[in-house]
Amino acid sequence: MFFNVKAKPWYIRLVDIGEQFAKVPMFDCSMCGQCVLRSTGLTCPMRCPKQMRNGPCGGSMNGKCEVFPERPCIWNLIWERSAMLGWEEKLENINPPVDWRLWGTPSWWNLLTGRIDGKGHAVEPKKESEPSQTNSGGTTT
Amino acid sequence: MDNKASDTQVSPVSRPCASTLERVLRDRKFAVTAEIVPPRVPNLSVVGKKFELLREVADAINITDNASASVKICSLAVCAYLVQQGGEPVFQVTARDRNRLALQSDLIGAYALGVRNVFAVTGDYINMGDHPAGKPVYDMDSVHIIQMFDKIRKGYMDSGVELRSTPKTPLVQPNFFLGAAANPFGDPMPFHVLKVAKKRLAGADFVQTQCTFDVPRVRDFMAMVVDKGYHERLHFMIGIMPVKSARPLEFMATEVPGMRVPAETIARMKGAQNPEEEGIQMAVETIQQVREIPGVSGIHLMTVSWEAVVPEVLKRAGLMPEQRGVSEIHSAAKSGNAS
Ligand code: SF4
Repeated sequence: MFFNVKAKPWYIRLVDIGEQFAKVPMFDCSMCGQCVLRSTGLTCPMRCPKQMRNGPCGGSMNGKCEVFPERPCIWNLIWERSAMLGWEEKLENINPPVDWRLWGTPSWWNLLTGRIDGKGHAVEPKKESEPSQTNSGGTTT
Repeated sequence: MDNKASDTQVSPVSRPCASTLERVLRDRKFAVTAEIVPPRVPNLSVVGKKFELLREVADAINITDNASASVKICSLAVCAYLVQQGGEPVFQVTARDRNRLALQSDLIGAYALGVRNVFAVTGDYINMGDHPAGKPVYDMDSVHIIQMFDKIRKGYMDSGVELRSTPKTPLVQPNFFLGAAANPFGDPMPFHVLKVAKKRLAGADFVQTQCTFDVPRVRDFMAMVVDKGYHERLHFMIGIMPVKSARPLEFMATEVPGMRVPAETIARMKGAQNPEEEGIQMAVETIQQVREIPGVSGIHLMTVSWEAVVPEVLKRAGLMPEQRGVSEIHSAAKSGNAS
């Protein structure tokens, strides 16, 4: 009945549940598997409809999102919170594009196994070892 | 990847000049680009007519990519057509409709067809357009596209795969001029300046901005840019839009994200005896004002479908090719040696 389609070994599942428990209510986390909260003023950029990872799009005005004007522009929040935390400098780094093989996996596990670095940037897996912990659709060769 | 966007030490551009537009900007001439929005009906005769109006006066012509998230003839096809006609297109690509494979294959395809200017943007969200239920892609943001395209210029695909036919043949390094967007009207302004810096770090060569109706805002934006020295590596072209009536202004003020239209501008248009004439006059005044702003290298004219006004605006603003001193560059390009 509770067949888990994205079957993961129990220990990863445990980390997964822990991370979801902590981050989903608090940061509206989408479990991208490569958490950049530390460089974005503890505000998850994946809430942006355009999933921008490097700053606001051209439509961000008066703190509102161009796509959903009833919502705040997440990058405006990131700007304010980074200033509050004194983390402005972190906004100067380019965050790489999302590695979609990691989508839906726990960042904490990926950090532990070296699949992402301390900034939350994906590290290319070794050629031989299959990235079996990820929900990638195809095989990597 | 640890480089900071605001670092002043950015390696100088070492590649040869890729296009006429790049030649104009590198020679420190005032550059003029215009824009053609491709039609929806699958027929290029309209584009041909618009192109005839612009070919002699603009250094290059941007071809929009499903502008306002509405389906049009694809930008790549129109760019190829312009190249055939002896024109110089700027191939616009958005992140909304393509993942990283499509972005790269379209780029190398465009290059193979003779396109030498590319302009990458994130793009309007899909719910603004004619297929609001579609799935937007956004595999990458604009900074990523620029980074990836710059890597292709060095001979590598995004994955690191080399651009060569066989392991024995030399690395191919397609040379093109790479553009990015900026919005001086977005908030918070310092963040938008920082984003320009990120695009510069990613490898952008030129910037075209959102349309200007609020000149003081552009002045503030450019002051920040110049203060940081970003203009030394990036050529800034300011967006200008001549309008025929007050209606589009009102629409832009309320409906179009990322645009600022002061109430006085709308009032001025409303009160005009001859709105078309007033629109031209307003565009000319805006051009004259932005031209004086330090760090500005050119203008980008967005006319929606009023291309016919471009020569008139340029004439009045004193920006015809001979007045800008670019006629020689244009004729050199026609005879086939842009660099
Ligand atoms: S306005 Fe802000 S939150 Fe909305 S799409 Fe643009 S960057 Fe994302």
